[in-house]
Amino acid sequence: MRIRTLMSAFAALVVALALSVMPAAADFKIEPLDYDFPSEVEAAAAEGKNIVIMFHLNGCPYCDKMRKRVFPHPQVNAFYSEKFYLIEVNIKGDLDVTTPEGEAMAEKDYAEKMRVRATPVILFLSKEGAEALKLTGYQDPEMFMTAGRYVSSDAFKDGTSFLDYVRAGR
Amino acid sequence: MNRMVKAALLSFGVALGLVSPAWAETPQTDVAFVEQLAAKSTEEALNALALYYDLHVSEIAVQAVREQNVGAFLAVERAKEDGDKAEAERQTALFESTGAALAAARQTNQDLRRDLAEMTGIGFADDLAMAPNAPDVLSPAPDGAPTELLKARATAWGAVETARVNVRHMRMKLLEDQEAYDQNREVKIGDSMRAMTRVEVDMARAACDLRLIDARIAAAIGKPLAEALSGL
Repeated sequence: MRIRTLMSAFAALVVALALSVMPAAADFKIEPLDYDFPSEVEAAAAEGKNIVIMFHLNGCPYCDKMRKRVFPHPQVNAFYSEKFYLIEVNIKGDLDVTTPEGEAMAEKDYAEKMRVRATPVILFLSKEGAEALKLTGYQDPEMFMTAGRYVSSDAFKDGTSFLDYVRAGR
Repeated sequence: MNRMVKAALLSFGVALGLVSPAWAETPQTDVAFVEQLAAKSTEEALNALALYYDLHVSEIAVQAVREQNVGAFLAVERAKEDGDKAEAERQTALFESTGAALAAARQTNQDLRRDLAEMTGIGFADDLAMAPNAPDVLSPAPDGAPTELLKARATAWGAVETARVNVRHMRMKLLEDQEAYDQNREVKIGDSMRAMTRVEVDMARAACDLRLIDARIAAAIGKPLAEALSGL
């Protein structure tokens, strides 16, 4: 179950008119009610989308930078809104989550299981819920776009590492 | 009234010609900004544009100093955990000096917002999310551009090219460091992330300087500022 940041047709129209005066919203970011990742993966896949998890820490300046300067970037927002849903997980948080593998635990335990120390960590899941790409640290808009293309095009499935994908300029 | 509703009412009002565009909230692009300055003289608009660019650079500069400050704080904690008293003292001094620098950077940012609001009548409460871009290729300067501005333009373009090379280099280094960090945790990934932000500050400054010079050239030859900036 999820609460999405949906805009009414009215709001969408006026926001389109106001794009040049307001920061764009990150339309691909969602806030689940129950953090049941298998159901989120399934619901996203039904729409042809992948789930991205951003592990964050309160006060982490790089997490804030992602939210303020990367997610609202017009190209990022347009591409990710078409291909992904992003969910944040607090690495010190106590919320109950069901991991993509179906295990129930607190979000801080999920972060530890994923060996998250530095934040942010951005975990891209395949449409089947498997780990497709895990990136530690800040990604600028261009690198974040490249990561999105790497996952959404299934390039990770042929064994190409993300580093090689970037070096090849794909 | 929340921001979304205000923006909605404002946008419809502007679209219908019911309210002045000067009520608009923080313009996110320089083109949107100068379009709201139609009632100002060209000189006033250029002065405001210079401050507007300073605010864009200030936004990422505050981020850069904040990262240094948080990095020093974490380094103090690590040094204490390791029982390294000398390193803890060194990092504590760095934490204090970057804390002062952060307060100063935030004050500069607030002063710019206040000055811009006073100068233009536009609200500048929102973050500026994205500094203006520099063009991929420098177009020929328009006929009639003053010589001193042409020289300044060439210098500014050199700064753009240097900054762009540095951003590309740092983007790859950051990625390589991130990969290495995931494998052995021996790379200080925070250093790379902070260095990335520093080159982003330089890139923002260089792009803004170039755009301001092109705006000045446009003003010198009687071309509308919005037209010149939208062509970049």
